[in-house]
Amino acid sequence: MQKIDLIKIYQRKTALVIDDFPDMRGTIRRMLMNFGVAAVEIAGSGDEAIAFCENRAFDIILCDYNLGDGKNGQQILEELRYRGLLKHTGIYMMITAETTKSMVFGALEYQPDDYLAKPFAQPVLQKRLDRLMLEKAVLFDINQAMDKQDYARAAALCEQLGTEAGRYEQKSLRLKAQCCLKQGRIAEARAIYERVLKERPLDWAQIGLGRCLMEMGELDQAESLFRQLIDQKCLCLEIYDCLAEIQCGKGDIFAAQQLLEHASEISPNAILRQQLLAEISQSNGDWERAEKAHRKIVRLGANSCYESPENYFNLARCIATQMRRDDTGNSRRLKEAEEVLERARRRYRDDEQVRLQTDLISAELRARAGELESARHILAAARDRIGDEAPATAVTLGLARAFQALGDRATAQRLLQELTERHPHDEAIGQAVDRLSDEPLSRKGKEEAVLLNSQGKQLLAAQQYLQAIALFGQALRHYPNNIALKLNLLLALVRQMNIGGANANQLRRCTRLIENIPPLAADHPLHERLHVLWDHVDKLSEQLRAATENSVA
Amino acid sequence: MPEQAPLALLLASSVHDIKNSLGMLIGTLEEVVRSTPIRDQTQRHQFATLQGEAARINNALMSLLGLYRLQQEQLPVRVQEVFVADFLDEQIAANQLLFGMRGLNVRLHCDPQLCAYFDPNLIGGIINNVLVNAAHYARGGIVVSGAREPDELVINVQDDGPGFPDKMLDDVCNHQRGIDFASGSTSLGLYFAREIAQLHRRGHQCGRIALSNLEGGGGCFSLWLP
Repeated sequence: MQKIDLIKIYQRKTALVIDDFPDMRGTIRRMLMNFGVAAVEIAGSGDEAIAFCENRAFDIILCDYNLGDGKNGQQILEELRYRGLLKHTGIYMMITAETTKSMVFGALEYQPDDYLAKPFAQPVLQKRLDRLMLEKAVLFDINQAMDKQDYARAAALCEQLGTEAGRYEQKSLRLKAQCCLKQGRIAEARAIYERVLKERPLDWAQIGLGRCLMEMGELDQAESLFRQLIDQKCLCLEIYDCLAEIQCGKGDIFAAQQLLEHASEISPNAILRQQLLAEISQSNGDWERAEKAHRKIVRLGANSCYESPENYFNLARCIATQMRRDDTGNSRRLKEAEEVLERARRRYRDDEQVRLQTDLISAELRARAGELESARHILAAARDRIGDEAPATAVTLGLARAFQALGDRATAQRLLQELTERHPHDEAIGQAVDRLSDEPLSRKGKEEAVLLNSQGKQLLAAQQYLQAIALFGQALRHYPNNIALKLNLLLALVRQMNIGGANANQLRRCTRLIENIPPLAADHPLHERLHVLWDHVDKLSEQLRAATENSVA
Repeated sequence: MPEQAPLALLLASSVHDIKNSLGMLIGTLEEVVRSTPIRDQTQRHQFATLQGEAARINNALMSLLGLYRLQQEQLPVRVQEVFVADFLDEQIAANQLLFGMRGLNVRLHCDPQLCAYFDPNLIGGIINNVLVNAAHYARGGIVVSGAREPDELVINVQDDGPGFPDKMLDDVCNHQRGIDFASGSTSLGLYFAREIAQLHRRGHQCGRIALSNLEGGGGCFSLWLP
């Protein structure tokens, strides 16, 4: 394209420069204006930049990766994409000081169009931008279809472009595979990635292939592919998320938690990963780790697209769950959790639903801390405000939790039962209810429980304990309060150690499980089973201790 | 006595800070040069020296930091599809002002469709280093070329200066002995270049560099990537 044409194109573009150094912002801005860009805005922080993008769409965004204490360039990119504030037809260029371990590459979907290393001369920036503009012009229809989330059309357009794509052939293959994955056309995506990998081990194709293998249930193959990428020192943290998902699929949520912890250490500010880490740590009964993650989520969520009262509620409940009867730390924990709730009240001052939920959690907290009277008092006041009409789902769930904490499991169970009956076809509600309930109440949950039970029995009978551990471990993520399930997992772990010897990791898992089972009355149908298993665990702990002492001696 | 931070780490983080300041300095210098009409040859020469030396410091720091990361196993290689002509064109553009000040004619020979696979950031650092060095010694011109040899990409940077001293030719050719740091200021860059080239692998092949002197005078830096 002729230079004069490019100037005309630049004149129609709008640009945003994000850098925390005013001098640098000014320099880059002047460069863009020299190219002919008419409107160049500047922002000094991620929050400022996002506020700009909420008001208008920019054609070109140049963003420094390292912006001091606030969001980094990758997080800004992710938030803009996630919220649809950055079009695929636009250009996002990341400016970097260096490539080191401290710089993290986003998931495939969240990668910038280009990286530009500092310091750079004006003609270099111009050449890069010229080329990107040409590319965006050739791929305009495809990118536009992706913006409209019409992935079928985007994939078809890539196909149509075919060999015409010329130098953009690889780019268009990459986009096509991405669209196929989005649409569940896994075999097609896989074929593309395999074709590319035949020539070169490119990381985007390796990760893509790994994702396909996961979708196809080939977990072992996917795992070895991702392990290989880690050996190659690939810095894309999506790998760890995928590996964690694979471990979950295999039922080893302990390993999954370790992987996510590792990735969070490298990049502590990725909120989606923190959410997954919180959820998985909770499933593992590791409430301390979960609390850490929830705190991070509250902090990172503030003023972002992930801001939600749920973030505060989850943190408060997580603190509450760590309260034990007659524990001296309880009053401190209660205070901490109340502070979190107070912040939620202030933040959502005018939202009655949020205030109701906050009060119900407050009742739950007090009940757990043993302050039964004030818990009952708060609960009664909240119920008065709710009145006779059926409350919102979240409020009903909050009521059920409060009753559970007060030891009134019958009322809690009745509330949950009624909720499922009111929404028999709502899977999300069914799942939420089943998470709280001692046993699944939703239709789907009941069906799954029957299936799980028979599969589990078969595995136990066939002495395939590791598979049984995987099966029950995975199910527990969906039914974390299901006592029978916990006992089954406990049983599988104990039997495995009976043949394979006591093992510290598995014993820790057993102890966590037992700690997280509520006290069962002597006439509870599962009471005896729990105590038999408990004795086994104690014996195994004893064995392990003796073995360690011997080896030390 | 307070506990001492490891010297290597201290150096690396200082280098990082210096690099940031230097980046600002180079950027401002570029703006000054662009907006100041050249008065006479003396001023032209002064601008060329300012730019050339700033670029050399920057390259030396980049090599240092790179080698430190390499030792810490923190230098990831991101191999990707690269259009070689665009890539080389960009390296030349980065030093356009310097070449202009020195009155050098820089030509690029490369098929615009030639495509190869390497880490453009790391290899870009090497080529930039070589170009700044060539600009220092060249008399009238530099020729940059990129071509495909059967299995490899080869990039050559030729200048019409006095050529490389024998000692340097020896050092780079003799891989067993490694590069002798006492021999000259360009050794750090060459050492880094060799290490980076070797990080690029495909099957059993790996990247390499070489120096040679041209028959009609002038030096040639060559880089092969699988």
